[in-house]
Amino acid sequence: MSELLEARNLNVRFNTMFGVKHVLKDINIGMAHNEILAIVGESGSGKSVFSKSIMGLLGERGTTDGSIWLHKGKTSKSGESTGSIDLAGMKQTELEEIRGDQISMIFQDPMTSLNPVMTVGKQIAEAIRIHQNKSMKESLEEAGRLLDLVRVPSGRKILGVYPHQLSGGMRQRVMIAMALACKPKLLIADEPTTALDVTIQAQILALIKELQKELDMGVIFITHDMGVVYEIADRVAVMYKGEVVESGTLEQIFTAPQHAYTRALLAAAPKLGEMTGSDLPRSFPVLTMEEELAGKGGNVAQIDGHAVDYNEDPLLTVRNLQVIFPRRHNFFGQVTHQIHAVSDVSFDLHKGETLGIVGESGSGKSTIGNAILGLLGEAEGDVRYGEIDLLNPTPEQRELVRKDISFIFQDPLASLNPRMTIGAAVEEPLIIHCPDMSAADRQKRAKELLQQVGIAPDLYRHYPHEFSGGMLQRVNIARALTTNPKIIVADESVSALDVSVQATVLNLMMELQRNLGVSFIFISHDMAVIERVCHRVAVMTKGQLVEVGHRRDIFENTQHSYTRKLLAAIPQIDFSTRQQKTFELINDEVPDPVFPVGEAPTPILMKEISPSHKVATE
Amino acid sequence: MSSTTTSQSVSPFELFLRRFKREKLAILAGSILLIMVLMAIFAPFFLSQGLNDFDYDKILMPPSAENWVGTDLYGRDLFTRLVYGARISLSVGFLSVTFGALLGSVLGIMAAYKGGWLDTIIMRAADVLFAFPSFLLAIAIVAVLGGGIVNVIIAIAIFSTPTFARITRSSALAVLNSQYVRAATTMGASHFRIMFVHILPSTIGGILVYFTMRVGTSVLTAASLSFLGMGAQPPSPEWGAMLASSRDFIAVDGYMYLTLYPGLCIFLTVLCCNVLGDGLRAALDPK
Repeated sequence: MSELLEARNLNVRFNTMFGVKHVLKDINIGMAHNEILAIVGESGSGKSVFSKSIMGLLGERGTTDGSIWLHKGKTSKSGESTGSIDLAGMKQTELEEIRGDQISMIFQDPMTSLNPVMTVGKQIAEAIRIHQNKSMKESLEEAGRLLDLVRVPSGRKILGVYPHQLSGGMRQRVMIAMALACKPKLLIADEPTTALDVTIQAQILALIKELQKELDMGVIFITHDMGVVYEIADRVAVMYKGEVVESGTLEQIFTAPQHAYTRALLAAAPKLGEMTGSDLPRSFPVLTMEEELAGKGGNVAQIDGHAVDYNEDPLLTVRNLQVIFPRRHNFFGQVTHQIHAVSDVSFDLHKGETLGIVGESGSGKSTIGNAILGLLGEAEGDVRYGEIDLLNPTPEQRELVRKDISFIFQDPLASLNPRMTIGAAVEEPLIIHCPDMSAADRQKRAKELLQQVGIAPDLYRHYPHEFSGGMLQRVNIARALTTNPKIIVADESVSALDVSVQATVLNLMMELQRNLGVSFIFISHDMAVIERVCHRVAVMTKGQLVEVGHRRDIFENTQHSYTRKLLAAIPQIDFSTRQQKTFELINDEVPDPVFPVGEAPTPILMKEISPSHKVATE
Repeated sequence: MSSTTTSQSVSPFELFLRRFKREKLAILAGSILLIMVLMAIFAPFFLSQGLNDFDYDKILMPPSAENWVGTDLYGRDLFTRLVYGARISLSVGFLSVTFGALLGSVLGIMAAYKGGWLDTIIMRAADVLFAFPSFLLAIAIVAVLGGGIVNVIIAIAIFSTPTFARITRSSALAVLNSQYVRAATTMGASHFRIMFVHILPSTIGGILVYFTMRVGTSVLTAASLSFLGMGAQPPSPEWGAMLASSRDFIAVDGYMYLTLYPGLCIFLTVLCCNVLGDGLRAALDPK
């Protein structure tokens, strides 16, 4: 195997306020010049630190020992490689020669990685001119060629365009074009698709894979998502707490994982289609990672979710919900364009049911959640919770609604006040709704709730920054449960969590549903998670519902083309079909539903496939 | 984010203390200020002379072992007067800025939270106050209300208010759209609770930094007003008033000490406040 990069006994330590942290422990990884090495691990596993140590971007506080050899590909007759350099031992000035030339990197967020005040063409040309002696004109021409290379439709036309005028997927293509400017031998991609919608993610993955073959370069692909690993990698290294716990070919890792961590990681990732034939949601066969690694895992039972009685009247009915925000104004302040965030949406929610609302960013799925809570003055239509009109409640009704419907947000840390202990956060709804309760009773209740979500009650006086994301989301769930709500709106509540943590939090939500009979509106972009945890599913795009039905209707009898597109974009772990899968490399991102005043999106007619399954006519 | 949770809870305040400990210069400045405050409070307990003990045998004595910084025109010990002066100067600085900060932060948070016409009214009023040169404004206010130390405090409080309002408003706007404020809204928290339990604490850092620096400036402003004869009047030992009463000796050889030491006191206070404020800023905002 002709090696391209080789890390030998690499150790990285950081000096922090709390002492020295050993973040990479004895890393030994090698990769060939023409393969894609996926480094998979959860947050804090050290995978990004590894990529930074290759680039020499650890900063002043980081110290490295061990070596990272970059082999330039020349092999002498005796078999020893010549022209190898040790990146770990190089000075910053020497590394500057390497960065961008031999090794380049793309990052997660293409908006913040691009300069907002410079045209796309100039930025790419700049990247070319740093390492190559070319005129601006030549560089711009080269930039145009690079945009063609990354399959930007009519690439040369966007040379004069600014980053904010491009969509997320296009920006990421521009980033890739910049990274390829000097034909690097090694491309490091650090979670390049995490911020993108699934359909766009699929396109970017296919693009990286094709470019790797075309340009014969090595790619290190860093991700937390096993599905993405499966789509893209030739070889895989699994990292956990600063160590490489397992590495091997893709097939080895997926079919015969050796390490308990890898096995747990694979078990925790929901796989599309594994729920086929089952009417109810089902828990994940995982424990927390600590318990798994202590050997308590193995055969964890998968428990069926709560059975819903559909003969009862629905708990919540939404009829013809419409939310229109002003978008553009003319000189006199009159609104000229409006964004139809939600148009003509109707659905029911039953007691003890989880309704999944799925769609890509900008589809209006979060707006529905906010409208139900009465947070949007712009909402129109008929949203009823029992006798209460949620869009126009009386003050007493509003009080009741705030108790009965609670919310869990996406970012577990940001949704807790950093200056409040977690105990105080859980108590807060009681302070608001039960002002007569004594402090001792409140504290008792808060501790019960923390216990219920799996957090030791003696952590009551700790602050949010001391916890991991999964623990914090449990705190948020405890807080949402404080007032014994009937409905919990969970807006992308697990999408910021690591996959193993996500599984345990979802298990907790299903368990609470079984025990308390609470209903969930589960808003998510992730079809695989939706399939696992929901009783019924509503698919949204451009503010409209295109398909509603029981989970089995949606996943086993898919009718609408958009639902199919969403399903097709999800990486499916199945070795028999892996090689045949291709994606069209086109930009077909969904535009925002913006219309001039007076115009509206074409109303959608729903066709009934079965009593429970409705589909928009196309 | 570390998943390890120690049993010892670390509050955000303790984190701030740890970072502040590294700001050696700010700690020094803070200590000097603290000593000044303690000396001012306990003046009668360690000073052998009273504030207005005239001794006509010791008129205009240069600094000596007995009179550390000399005596004034009436034979009063200057050091004693400086210490008593600190009582006035420091409390004028502190009180005026406290009133300004209280008023400004409440107005700022209301402007940010309510928005709309209330925001417009509060912030445009602030703009109007900003448009006046602040010192002239203080003189104008004192001219209207009349001289004296209480009116100086009112004048400085009034022109401190708009800056505090702006600082509070901008940092309140930053947290207004944060998820935890939205979470509180969805829980049904009252406006009052959201403003003063959730938003205000997150703006305290910025207010505290500006507060510290502003105390220094206010001491200077109060001294300037007194120097011009619009604030504390002699025989008050306010530092500016002391400078004013020694005005005639500024350029006289050998009598520099009369103006040097009150001047140094003002200088030291302003400097220490600024250094302390800088250190607080570094510790509160680690980025």
